[in-house]
Amino acid sequence: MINYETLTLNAALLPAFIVAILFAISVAIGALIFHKQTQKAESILLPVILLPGLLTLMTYIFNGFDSLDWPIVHWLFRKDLPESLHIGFILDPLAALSSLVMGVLLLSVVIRNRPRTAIISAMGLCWAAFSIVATAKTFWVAAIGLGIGSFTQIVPILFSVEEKSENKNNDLRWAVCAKRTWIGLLISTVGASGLAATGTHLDFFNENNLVEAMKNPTGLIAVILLFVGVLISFLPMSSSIFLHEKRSGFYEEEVIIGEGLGGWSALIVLYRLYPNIHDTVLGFGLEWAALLILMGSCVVLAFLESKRSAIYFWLTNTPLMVLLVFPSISSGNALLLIIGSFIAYCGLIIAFDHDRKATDQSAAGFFFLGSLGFIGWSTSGGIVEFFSLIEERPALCIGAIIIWIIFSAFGFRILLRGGETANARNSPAKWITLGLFALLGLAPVLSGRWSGGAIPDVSDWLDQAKNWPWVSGLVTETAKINWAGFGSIHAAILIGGLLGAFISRQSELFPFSKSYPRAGIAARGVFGLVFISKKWAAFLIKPGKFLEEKVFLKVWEKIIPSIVLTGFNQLKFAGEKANTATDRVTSNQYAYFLSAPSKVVQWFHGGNVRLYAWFAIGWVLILSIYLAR
Amino acid sequence: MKSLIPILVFAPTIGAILQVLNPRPLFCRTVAILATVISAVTAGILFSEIDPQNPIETPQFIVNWIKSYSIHFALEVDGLNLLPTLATALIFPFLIISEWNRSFARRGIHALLLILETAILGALCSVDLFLLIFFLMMIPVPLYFLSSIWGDEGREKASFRMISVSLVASASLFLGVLIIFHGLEPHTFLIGDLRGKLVGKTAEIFGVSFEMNQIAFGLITFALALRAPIWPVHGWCRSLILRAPASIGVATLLAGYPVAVTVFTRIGYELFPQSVGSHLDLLMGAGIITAIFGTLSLLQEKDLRGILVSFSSIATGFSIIGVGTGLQTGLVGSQFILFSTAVGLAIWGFSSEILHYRSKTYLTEELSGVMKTLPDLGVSTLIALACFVGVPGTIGFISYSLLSMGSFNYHPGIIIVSLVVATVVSGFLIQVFRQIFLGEQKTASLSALTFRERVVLFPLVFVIVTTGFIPSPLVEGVKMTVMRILAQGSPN
Repeated sequence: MINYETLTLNAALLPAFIVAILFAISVAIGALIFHKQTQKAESILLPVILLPGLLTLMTYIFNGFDSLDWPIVHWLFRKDLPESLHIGFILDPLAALSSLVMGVLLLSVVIRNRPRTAIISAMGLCWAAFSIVATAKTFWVAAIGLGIGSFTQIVPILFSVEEKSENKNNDLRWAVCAKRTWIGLLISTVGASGLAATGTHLDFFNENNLVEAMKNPTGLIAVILLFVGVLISFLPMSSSIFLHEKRSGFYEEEVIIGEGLGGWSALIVLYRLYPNIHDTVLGFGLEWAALLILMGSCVVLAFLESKRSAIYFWLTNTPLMVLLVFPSISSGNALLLIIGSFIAYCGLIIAFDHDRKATDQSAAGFFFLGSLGFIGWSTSGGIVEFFSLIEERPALCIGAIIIWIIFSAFGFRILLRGGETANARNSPAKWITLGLFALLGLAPVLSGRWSGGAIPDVSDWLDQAKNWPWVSGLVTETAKINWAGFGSIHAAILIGGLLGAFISRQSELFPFSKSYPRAGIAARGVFGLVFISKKWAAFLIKPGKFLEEKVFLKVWEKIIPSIVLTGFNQLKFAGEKANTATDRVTSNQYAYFLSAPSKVVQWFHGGNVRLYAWFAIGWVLILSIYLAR
Repeated sequence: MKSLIPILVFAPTIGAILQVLNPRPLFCRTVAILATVISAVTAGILFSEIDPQNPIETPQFIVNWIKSYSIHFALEVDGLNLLPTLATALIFPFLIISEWNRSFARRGIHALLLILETAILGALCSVDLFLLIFFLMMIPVPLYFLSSIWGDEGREKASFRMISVSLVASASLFLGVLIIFHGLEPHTFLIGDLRGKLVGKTAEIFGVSFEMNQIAFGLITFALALRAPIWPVHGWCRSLILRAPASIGVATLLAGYPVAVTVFTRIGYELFPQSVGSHLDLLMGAGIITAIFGTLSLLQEKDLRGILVSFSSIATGFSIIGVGTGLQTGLVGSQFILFSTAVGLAIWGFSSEILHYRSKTYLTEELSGVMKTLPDLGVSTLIALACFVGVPGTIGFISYSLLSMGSFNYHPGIIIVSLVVATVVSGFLIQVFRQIFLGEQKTASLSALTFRERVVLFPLVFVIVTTGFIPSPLVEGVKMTVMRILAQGSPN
């Protein structure tokens, strides 16, 4: 019997979205395999890949943002076993909005840049991977999404032979990104497996008390590994080595495919674990880790010479700025912060690399302020709430203020200098997308408040906004914000802006690499995974060579066999001696008296034919006598 | 269904015999591929016949062979040998296809590969110790001819060394098995009949009494360590593979660690659970040392076949770690490591051979920018590498997850060491991939992949990805048998 009650539109939306993701993956892979045949359809390829998914998401949004989920099912082992691994999907506001915004961004970039089939396929796969992570209900689904995402990084260089203006350093970019992604995934997978082994499942919407799990050594190590693995995805500074290489091609695709996916996906995974990290030692650790990584990133950024690399690097650090803040703030503000920052990031991808026209600069500035949490943006409430903790956590907040100033200064500098794209690549698609993102990212739309909840003691609710399902989900959250927080963040942005404007008078992007060349080389090397890997490789190859060439080949393969061979030779020598001695005994001087019997024996032995003949004759005689009787 | 097991094992040998009867090239090639495909299909059917809920009634074929000595022709497919059997049966058709156009003595190489497949599958499926020795002693014979005829310079010495080591291993194994046979009344070689009866038994050699656990288990372990091979007795394997074509290298590896680890798991856990239980730390140590040495060796590899050998050492180490946990997830993870690395190494081997065919070199330094002309080869190899390091979406991810779960419950320190090894391997493999496939193209022109080469690579890539997303049937197939043997005499 069909249960018609379950066949509502909403119930069908999640399965439809999963099917749309699978469709996107299939079409993208198909287009890759048959890239020559699909070249003519380049202009419609991405819309074909994304359209089912985007339509489903829009239907979901217009139907009221109700969370839709599939029950968690077992993937490996039976559900009742403690080590069983689970999978499950959910379609909630975060998943829907982030997937939709990512899809719109990709469409806009493709329409404007008209990339090759391989890049379009990579972007389609990228969207599918990101959507899987966003809809993941368990860690294992998110890991699969990240795994698919890691493969998309290689796709842009698959068919580079067809591209005349091929980027020579693409392989370096791929190598550093792939190393980071693979190693990060490996470590976090091992950590999650360790937690599963102790009976703690990373089912995002069930109660997972990671702090409790950390009370035993196994759980502690597992949790540390899980978070270290996730943090490795937030390490764009490890790519610093290739940021100094000359590159060509569109940077937007590189940012999205190479770097953007990892950081934002990891951030979504951490947000899904929010109940475990909010106001816990884990959250505190993550915030400090983000602060330290951002400090390292500042050092790398300071010595960059290429504007495009600087834009690329600045953008890839935006998830870290969110990570620095969100574990301490209320869940509603955290959700707003993540979505708002992601929208600002997507807007900046299109707007940051501009050609210094006032309109372009203003558009970029608008999204730039949004990513920093300026009032009026939906990000503002969360960031002000974080800086309102300045009395409780002075060290962290002061560190964050310094980082905010430095990052906003660098960002302003980049903003004022414009991009490296000399010819304007303006297109209606760009402005439509920016308009949509601006609308979405503004506080009234996302939070229902004019200021985004940034101004203390002001409840400036829009009429009717409280009834929006999206906003009503956030109303219950009470954020503790004060004027100190509000002042700190806006002062930091203002000082950063002034500093950025001041240093923009210099001819170089940032003056440090020329003033302190040695420091520049050090900064490039220390944070470059390739550099580290070479050093480490040398460190590891030496003992390996010693073990192989000196110990194994010399001792095991030469010395031991030679000892054995010498032993055998000694035995052989002894045998020869014994043989000679025996020979003397039997045939020479000492046993002369034995010569006669020996002659008989020899006669019998050596004359076998004669012996057999004698036997035969004997038997013939006997037989003849017998027969003749 | 039990009659399918002899078909699984002997279909390749029948193919080899048919080749002798009719030497026409087309017939020979067709028979060779058909024989291996029949074996692969049979393996698939047997896999579908395993009921995860009923670990007792697994497909088995047992008849008397030499009745007066209680020797049985006993073959079984259960959770302990399912994955290596599937991997072997799956990879051999592609080995035949990869040697489809060999110019010199094609019929011979096909026949020897077919005989080798029978020997490997027989050794994996044997549940009679005498039959096991028979098949294990059969393995080096085709391998010897394969490497000594089609290998490079120095092949005779390497082949002779392999035979010598195999003889020592076989003698040690035979002695161990004879001690078991004589130590028990009524005498039998059947593992099922010996199960649980060796505890506390003693064997007398030249009037001196020994604990059977110590002497027989020690001899068998030593034999399998030589065959796996684990560090430091792995030299024969390296010298052989470095002098053979990569496809023969793949066959050598399939005959090595998957067989040795599977046989060790069966004999160890079914006959000597107490001995295994008291030596788990030793097993872990052996696994870790083999993995570490494999990694150090890998870091200096400049030969594509050398990477094959070194990575097999790491895989051996990881699978021994899984066996050494003495836990369900660890043992299942060990089986998955065998399966995933076997398929991944096969792809790496085939890619190496394809590159060698075009560039006449196995040296990584002489290859660069291959991706420009062979993107499909690059993608296939990348997926194999991703499988090696457990990237989600591949079967390697499942293997590492299961192994990690088992190792965590044993001791978290093990996982830290394994993780360091895996991290270094990840970094190195990405560098190697970049060296060979990316960057400026060094070789003038590399022709595109032929249809036959695509047929060799793509199905195996499909297996890696499909089983990565839908691993549950394989896990369930293995898990119940593992639970059964652990329940019989859990070492932990």
